[in-house]
Formats: sequence, structure tokens, C-alpha cells
Amino acid sequence: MGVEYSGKLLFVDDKIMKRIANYDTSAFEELYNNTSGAVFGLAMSILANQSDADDVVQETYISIYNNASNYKGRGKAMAWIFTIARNHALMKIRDRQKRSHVDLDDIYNIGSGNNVEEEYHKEQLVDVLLRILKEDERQIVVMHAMSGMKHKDIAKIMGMPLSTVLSKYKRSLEKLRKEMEVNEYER
Amino acid sequence: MKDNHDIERKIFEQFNERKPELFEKIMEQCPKMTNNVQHESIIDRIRNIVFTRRFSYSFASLSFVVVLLVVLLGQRAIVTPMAYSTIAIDVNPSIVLELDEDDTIINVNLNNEDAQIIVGDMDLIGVDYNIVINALIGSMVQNGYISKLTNSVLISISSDDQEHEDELMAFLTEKVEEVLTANNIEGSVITQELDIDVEEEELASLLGISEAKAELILDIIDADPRMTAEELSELSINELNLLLEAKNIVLDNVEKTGSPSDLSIITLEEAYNIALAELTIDELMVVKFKVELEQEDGVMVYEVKIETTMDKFEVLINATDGSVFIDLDQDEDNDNEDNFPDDTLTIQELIELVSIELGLDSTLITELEIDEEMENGVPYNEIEFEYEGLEYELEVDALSGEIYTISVDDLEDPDDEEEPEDEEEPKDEEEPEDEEEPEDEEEPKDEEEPEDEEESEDEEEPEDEEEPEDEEEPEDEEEPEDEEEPEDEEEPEDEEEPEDEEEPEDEEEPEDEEDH
Repeated sequence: MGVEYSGKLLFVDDKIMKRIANYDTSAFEELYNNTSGAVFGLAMSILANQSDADDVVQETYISIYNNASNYKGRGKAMAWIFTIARNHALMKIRDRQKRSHVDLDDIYNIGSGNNVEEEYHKEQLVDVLLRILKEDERQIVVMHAMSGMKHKDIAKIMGMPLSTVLSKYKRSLEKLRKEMEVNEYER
Repeated sequence: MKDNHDIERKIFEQFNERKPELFEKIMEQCPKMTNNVQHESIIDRIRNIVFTRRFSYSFASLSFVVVLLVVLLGQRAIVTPMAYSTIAIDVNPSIVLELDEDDTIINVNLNNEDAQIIVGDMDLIGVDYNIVINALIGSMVQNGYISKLTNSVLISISSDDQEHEDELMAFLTEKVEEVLTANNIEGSVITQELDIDVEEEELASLLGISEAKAELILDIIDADPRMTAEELSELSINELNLLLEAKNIVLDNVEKTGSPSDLSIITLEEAYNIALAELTIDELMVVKFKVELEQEDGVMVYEVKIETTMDKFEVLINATDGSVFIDLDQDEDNDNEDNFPDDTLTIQELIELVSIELGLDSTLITELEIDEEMENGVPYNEIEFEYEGLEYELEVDALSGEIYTISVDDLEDPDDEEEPEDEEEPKDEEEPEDEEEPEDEEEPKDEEEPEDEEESEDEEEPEDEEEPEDEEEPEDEEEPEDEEEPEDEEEPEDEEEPEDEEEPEDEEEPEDEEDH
């Protein structure tokens, strides 16, 4: 709530993590307010489903509560939080797969409805992002956009070479930009 | 590429609008989260410290646990169980004040002999911190620890109440500045949250410095791992401040007001002239030069790089006394270019990284030059290029891609003959600096503080720094200074990098500069 975009690194002070480890509610709430948008965005980028992403947000903060005392990073709290969120999202995928095989990129299938016109007007950039980017591209763009995290840290979280992350990031933004231009034209 | 920023902003805003409001629901499953502010139990405290990063490897020793307990129980600890807030003041005297909830002093720790001189027989216990700060800073001025030559004060604060901590930080910054102004000193106050862990304590006791200074040093090394704690511990707070400014290092947890005094060191121009004399180079032969304030083995030095039509030279000048600095540190082999690792980022990756971080179109980069360097065992690349009328200089970790420094300067009119490097600063701004002849003018120097501001202006990020990282260094002030040499720019043709190597491959090996 009320979080403003600064284009800068979403920095989570290690001290906040310590306070959470000591069960300081106000620190926990502050963390939630500042970072839940980023956690939600990452969950959406993996799951492409609002209800599942909501679950991941909830599970992530409960994990943070349970594990804050184990947090050992120096200034890397956001990377730690993203890693937890990502793990929960990936677990969710495994659960889904156990139940039935679903193509994740199909879950969020905005273009296939009947009310094309209505959707067309409602579609926001994040919808476009979920629709046109691949899952790993979405994660990279969302982590960067939501937290200002450096590409090398994103590469670490994703377990990818930096060069891959850089090129995927660049290509994805290009795709989004083109898509936006087309939309703006049409409007 | 401005749209990158816009696109990211929209993504940020839209996901934040859609995010669920689940805090209350989450809290239902976090039963221990009941009080707004809970104090750490001793057990939690020990657990937190024991499991802190970089400690695990040394945890084996039981004796260390015993020492920890001793520390936690208050023998030497910076935070005693009773202290509600803690204020550490470091200039060279290093004093730690512990406050109760009413901001009254309940304990004073003097970390060094200088601190004992400052406090003398003052009885500070039971006194309001406001009065104490006044007295201590006043005494530091009187005893010459803070002066026009060394005007930096490090204030480190922690409080059980975050809001109060913020208030203390703001108030103390203002208070210290006020006392210094009353003494005709334009101070520079560095503030940080006091966040002492085992790491800081170990470092402090190993190097014989205060925990607060250790914390600042660890933060600096995190930002630029090419420096070592041992080296930085040798520097005074004012020198650390000068280094932060010269290298344009911005630390996440550190705020700074004012500028560190440079009156105790020689000017860039003096360093340049000394280097010319040392190398017996006629100034007229100089095609290009660069002077940067650095530290080497814990000594403030100017690194002077000079390129003539025939050769390249590099010499270090002790910034304090103007002597030629001879590096006695033998682990230089470590920094030998032969040790430059093989698994570093490729040139293509470096260019890609830099252009994304700076929001540039890599196809428009020209005059690219990339050098391989080593510093304290850390391999990094010096990257220079021109882009849309601007000259960029960066230092980038060769393995991780971390950008350590960035500077951006205007190129002079394309038709102008002068070399890119020196011109970047139109002569106007250096005015103030160049005139000053050696030592005598120092006086006038400080009041005007002319150089620093100008620099900030000219470096205005030319373009969109949509990349968050860009903030790290908007651009280093060193740049502007280099140009202070107005005269020598006139070297016409030669400056243009003889090797116009926009080609990735060719740039990598320009490291022929000789070290002296």
C-alpha cells in the first residue's frame, strides 16, 4: 500500500529482519507493505494466476516470520525474500502438476474470451506482460521492475548466467515496448 | 530508452495495485507476533549473533562463545541491556554514549586515548544527551581533532524504537553541524545506523578501531571489494569521507551532509605537476592524463596516469606530503595482470551489461576501450567509450559485472582538437581550483567549496537512469577534477584515441602504462 516507484533498489534493511526475528509486529507490517507488491508480482510472473499468487504471498510472509532469525545476508534481504517466494511458487506448480497437467502459460489466457472489446480496454501492462512473455522472462522483468534488483543478483536467484539474464531482460522490454506502441496506436 | 523506465514504473504500480491485503490473515498464523516492539531476549540475541554471516566458519571455538557471552553481558559491549539508545561518535576520538528512554546518559565508553583527552574529567552520567553532544563536539574542536583541515564526524546510532532512532539521527546531524558552524567550521557529518554484529566486533578488535568505524569500513568494502579492511582502517574518518566522495561511493545505510575537507592534502594540479617532474616529462608532450584520489595500502594517494605521444605512465603521489609513493606491498603479484582470471565476463557481456544498466543503445557506442586490472586480488575492467557526445568511464567487476564507479562527461565540440579527457570540463568551473597556488590559498579554498558543486552540475546524468543501479554512482566527481588542467588540453589531434576500437576485440589490451 502506498508504495511509490522510485526506480531505485527496494532496499530492505537488515535491521528490519532482526526486528522481525524478535517478533516486532510493526517491522513485519512495514516489510509487508513495502515488499508484498514485489512478492505478488513475482508469484504472478511464475503462476499467472491471481488466487495462487495470493496464496504464495501469504505463505512467503509466514516463512519469513518463521525463518527471520536464520536470515544471514548482509544487505541481501530482498534476494532472500524473492528466493522464498519463488520456492513457494514452484512448489505450487508441482502441486498442480500432481493433480493434473496444466500448461501454465495457458492459465492466464486473456486473449481467448468473448468480450474481446471489453478486455481490450481493460488490459493493463501487467496483463500484456503475462500474456506475451515467457515465464523466465516475466520473472526477470518483474524482479527488476519491482525491486530494482541488480541483474547479477537476479541471475543468481534464477541460476542463470548473467549474460542470459541480460539478453532476456532486454528482449522482453523490447517486446513490451512494441506491444505498447501497437496498443497506443489502436487507441 | 526512456520507455524502459516507464514500462518498469507501470509494472511496479499495477502489481502494487493488485496485490492482496493479507497482512491481518498472515498475522493470525504468526502467534508470537504480538507486541509492537519486543526486546530481544539474551537467548535470541546469542542465536542471532551466532548464526550471522561469515561467523559460521569461526564458530568452532567454544572459547569464542564464552567471549561472546561476556560481550553480551555488557563487559565491553556497545549496547548494554539497559541502554535504550546508543550513540557512537568517531572523529579520531571514539566515544560511545548509552542513553535511557529519556535520553539521559547512563553509560560512557571511551574507545581510545583521544577519547579520554576529550572527556577529561567531565561527568556525563545523568546528563541530557543534547548537552553532552554539545560539550563533546566543542571539546573536539578545542583540542584540534575537528578543524578546517579535518571536518568529518561519524555519528552512529541505534535505538530500540526505530522512530526515535530516526529522530536522534536527524537531531544529532543538525546539532553537530550547529556546533561546528558556531566554531567557523563547515562540517561534514556522516550518519549510520549502529548495527554491531560479530563481524564488526571481530574486525574492530583485530584492527584496533571502534565498532562503528568497522561497520562503516565493512559497508565500504561491500560496495567496492577492491579495498581491504586493513587498508581502510589506517584512514581517518575524514580520509574515508574523502575517499567516499572521490570514488562517488553511495552506501545504502549511510547519510552524509557537507563535504570532507581537502585542505590537508595537496591539490590534483599539484599532484599532476609533481608527477610530471618525477617522470621528467615536458607538459607539452602530454596527450592525455588523468588524476584520481585513491588510497593505497592505507595511504591517501593521487594516481596520476599520463599518456604522451610515445608512452603511457602511471605514478602514485602521496596526497598528504606530495612525495612519490612507493608501493612496498609485495603481494602485488596478486595484482599482476597475469593473474587476471580466464572465466571473466566477455567483452560482449560487459557491453551488454553496461548498456542495459545505463539505458544506452550498445550499437551507438564508439571509441570503446577496455582494460583489464587487478586490485587486491579483485579483477575488474576499466571501460571507456563515447556515446552521443558524452564520454563514459566505468570500473566494472570482471566476474560479477558489479559496476564500481561511473563517470560521465561532456565531450567538447567535435571540431575542437583537444583531447576528450581533459576538455570535458569547460574551463569555467575549474577556475576556482586552478588559481589556487599551492598551500597558501588553502584558506580561501574551504569557504567557497567551489569545485564540488560544479562537479555535481556538470555530471547530471545525461540520460535516463532507469536502471536502479545507476544511482550507485551518478558519477564521480573525480572526473571534473581531472579537467582542472585547463592548459594542457590544447593537444590537438593526438588525443583522439588513436585506436578507434569500437570493435570489441581490440579494446582489451591497452594496459601498457608503466607503473612507477
